[in-house]
Amino acid sequence: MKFRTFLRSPLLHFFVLGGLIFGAYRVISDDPAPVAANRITLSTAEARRLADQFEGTWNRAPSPQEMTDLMQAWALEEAQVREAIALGLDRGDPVIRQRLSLKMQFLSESGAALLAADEATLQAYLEANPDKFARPAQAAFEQVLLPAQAEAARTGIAALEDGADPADFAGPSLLPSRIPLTAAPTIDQMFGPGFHDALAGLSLSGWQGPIQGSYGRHLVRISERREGILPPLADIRARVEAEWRADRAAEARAKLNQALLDRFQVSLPGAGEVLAR
Amino acid sequence: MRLSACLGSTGIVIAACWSLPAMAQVTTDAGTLDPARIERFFNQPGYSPYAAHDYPMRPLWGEIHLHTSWSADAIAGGTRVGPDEALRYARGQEITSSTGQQVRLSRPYDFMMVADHSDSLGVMNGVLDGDPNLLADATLKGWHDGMVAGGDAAMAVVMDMITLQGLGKLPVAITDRDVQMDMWRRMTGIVEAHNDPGSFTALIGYEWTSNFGGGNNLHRNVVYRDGKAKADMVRPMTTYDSDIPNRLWDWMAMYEEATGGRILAVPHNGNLSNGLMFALETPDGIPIDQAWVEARARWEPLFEVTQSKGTSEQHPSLAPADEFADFEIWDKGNLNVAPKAPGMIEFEYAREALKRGLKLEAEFGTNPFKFGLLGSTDDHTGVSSAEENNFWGKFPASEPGPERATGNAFDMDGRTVKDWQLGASGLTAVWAQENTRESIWDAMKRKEVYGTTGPRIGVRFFGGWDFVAEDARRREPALVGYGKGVPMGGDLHPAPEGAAAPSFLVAAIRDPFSGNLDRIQIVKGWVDAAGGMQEHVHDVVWSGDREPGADGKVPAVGDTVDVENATWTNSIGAPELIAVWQDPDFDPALRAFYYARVIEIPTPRWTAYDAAYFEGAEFPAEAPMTVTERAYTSPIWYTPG
Repeated sequence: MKFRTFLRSPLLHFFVLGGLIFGAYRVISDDPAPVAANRITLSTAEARRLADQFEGTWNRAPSPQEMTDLMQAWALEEAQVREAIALGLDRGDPVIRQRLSLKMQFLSESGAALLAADEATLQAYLEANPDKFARPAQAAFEQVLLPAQAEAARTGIAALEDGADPADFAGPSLLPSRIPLTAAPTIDQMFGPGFHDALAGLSLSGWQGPIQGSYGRHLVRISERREGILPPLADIRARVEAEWRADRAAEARAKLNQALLDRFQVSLPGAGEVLAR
Repeated sequence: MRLSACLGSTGIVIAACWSLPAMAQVTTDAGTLDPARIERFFNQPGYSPYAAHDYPMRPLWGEIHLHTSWSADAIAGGTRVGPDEALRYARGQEITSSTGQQVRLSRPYDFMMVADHSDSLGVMNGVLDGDPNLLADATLKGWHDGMVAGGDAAMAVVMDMITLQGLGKLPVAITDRDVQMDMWRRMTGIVEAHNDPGSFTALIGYEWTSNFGGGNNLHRNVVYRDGKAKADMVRPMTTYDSDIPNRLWDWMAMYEEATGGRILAVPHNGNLSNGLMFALETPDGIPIDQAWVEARARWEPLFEVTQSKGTSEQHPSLAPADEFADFEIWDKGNLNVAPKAPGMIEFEYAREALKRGLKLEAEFGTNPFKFGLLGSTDDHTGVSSAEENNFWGKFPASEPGPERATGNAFDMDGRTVKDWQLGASGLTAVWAQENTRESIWDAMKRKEVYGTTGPRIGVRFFGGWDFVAEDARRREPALVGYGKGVPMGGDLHPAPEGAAAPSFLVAAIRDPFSGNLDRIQIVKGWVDAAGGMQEHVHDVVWSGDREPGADGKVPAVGDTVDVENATWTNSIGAPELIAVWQDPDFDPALRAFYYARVIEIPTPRWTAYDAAYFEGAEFPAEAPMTVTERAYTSPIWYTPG
């Protein structure tokens, strides 16, 4: 039974067929068989590279046994890779193709990684892209979440206006009662979208509101507010440079892609032609 | 349940609680409250409870498990989004996905870790970095100068390279593998550029992807506390080095010793490990020993409990009494969809492992499975997406489109897992004082983190010996929580004289973008006197005026989901829930753990959003259209004194 399963195995068919094709090729091919094709040699320098790699990972040199194992593993990998290439297993493999494509992308971007930008360039880039670098507005405030009933809300407002401590009557909540100077997006994350914008319309004097958030209506008392600003270049130079460089890399990638395509006469069938079949 | 009654389903928690006296003497399970004792924590003269908290007012949100085009399996699947764009997206910028669609998060993350597989990748790039040995060669020197000049000059260099290569005239030096670029350093450089302490933390990390024995998922994400300088000193461990987890721990110890840095590892997908994730022997068959137990406890303080390939909290067959256990379960097989044998599931799920850890602690003196819980996506698209209405799939093939209604997420020789089984799941909340690598990592190390299935549900969980019902009525639960107990991830202090049983303060607030809360549960696990592993899921606070049934279970909250239109209303459930709960079955002689599970009301699952949006999306009848999102806190442990 087992042997019959083995005979039916696609892998067996693959190797037998492969062997036949190779045999036939050897017979009909005019090329002399390459002399060194069946020799796998690792130079000391290349073996040293395996040792270095090991050392880079483990922070120590491999032991003699480990070195032997590394080299044997390398030899097996080399034999497998050679045979796989000979069998054409690399062709049409999406992993290999994409990996090569990625390497070309790295190559195209590597120029940008080395670019140094002068102050004027970065300053201009900063000014041209305020959205990327602006620090959001901030606000510091206290808040009380009002009960749903209108009556209780009025009581709450009156009590606060009389100087009551919100802690005296506010219920338990994970919403912080006092929010230190906090960026607008964080405020919106805590109280719901648009909450900071609603705060921005209020003055800095006393309890105000109610304003609507995701959990209901809040009374708020704002103690400090800072407008969003575009920080000076000196404060965020590294970030501006990184963004500027990322833009350059994207440009370089697009250019190289085009230049690569230009090296070839690309002929593709029309989409309609393909889909019609 | 007086408190749950005050947290009505009308939408405003505080409503019915408005008139509660702030400081009444009450008798509780823990005895009669002494107001003077509470004064220790509240309203002391001249002491503002609001000023200068040293605890954070909100958790930081993010994830630690996203793959980009730098992962071989991702790029093979068509992923075009690299780590730089993935981090931009995490910061809230709009990017273009691999399928050419515009995508943006509902709200930015506070932190992010790209965790590409650690296989190295070489490019003939040494020349570009200005290696002096190479610049001795005139051609290479010219190339280097051209690259530095940038723009068209750099372009000309690349084209020149290609031309010379085509002619077989490439300088020998450049193909020398010694000068190949180190992928890792490039990655850490990109991450470093996005790290913005105080507003956005980009953590350095990678995934060590062991599929021991063929698809048995033993994957770990390695999280660095350190920046580029230290991370670059040592190459990441790959599975070519070893696919045995304890070898990874050896490597981690070596890293810390060599660099003075700190790292931790987070395993994931126990559900796809075919019995290996929490096994009592190493994958290569060696029974665990003292050194193994101590190493695992040291290096793996957390477990990723939920992600796109299923949730690994607890399997329904192991917890028949837990009506919420059957959640996004993937139990067909391992990563190769190789089927499971009986007895495997017991070693795959977090709750089971937490219980087994207590037994092992009795045996070894150290609990190897004393882990906290977090969630992350494991998306391979460069797009971290755990939102039901903004789900970008696991691979480009499962990015939004009508095809994913019927497509296969995994297809191994006809053994398939369908795209609709993917979960829009996995997010982590970290109770860190500051938004920095150090502060976030430290919170992870002390397990003061929790995981959710996507929504940003706020959860506080404290354990102590003298929490009383009154504590749940304080305006600032965190203040009393830290004052009287330990937070999630901690160990209960030794019981004070006369203490009957531990008590817990637990509070949750809904995601302002998502559904109301159904209930908070506390999951207790323990080992009984006969060595049997036990668990009990307690409903501790819930919305509305539901009464527990004879079995002690609170009835279902209901369902407002309109599947056809993918909408729901928050007319059921509560926006906030808070309670103090005392263990009614406590035995001081037995080891135990407690963690909180917060359940949302049903909301539309991503499949419902797809069905409503794509005309041609024909989901099979078995595809679920609603989801009960949830949060899982890290446990608090009790060890007999």
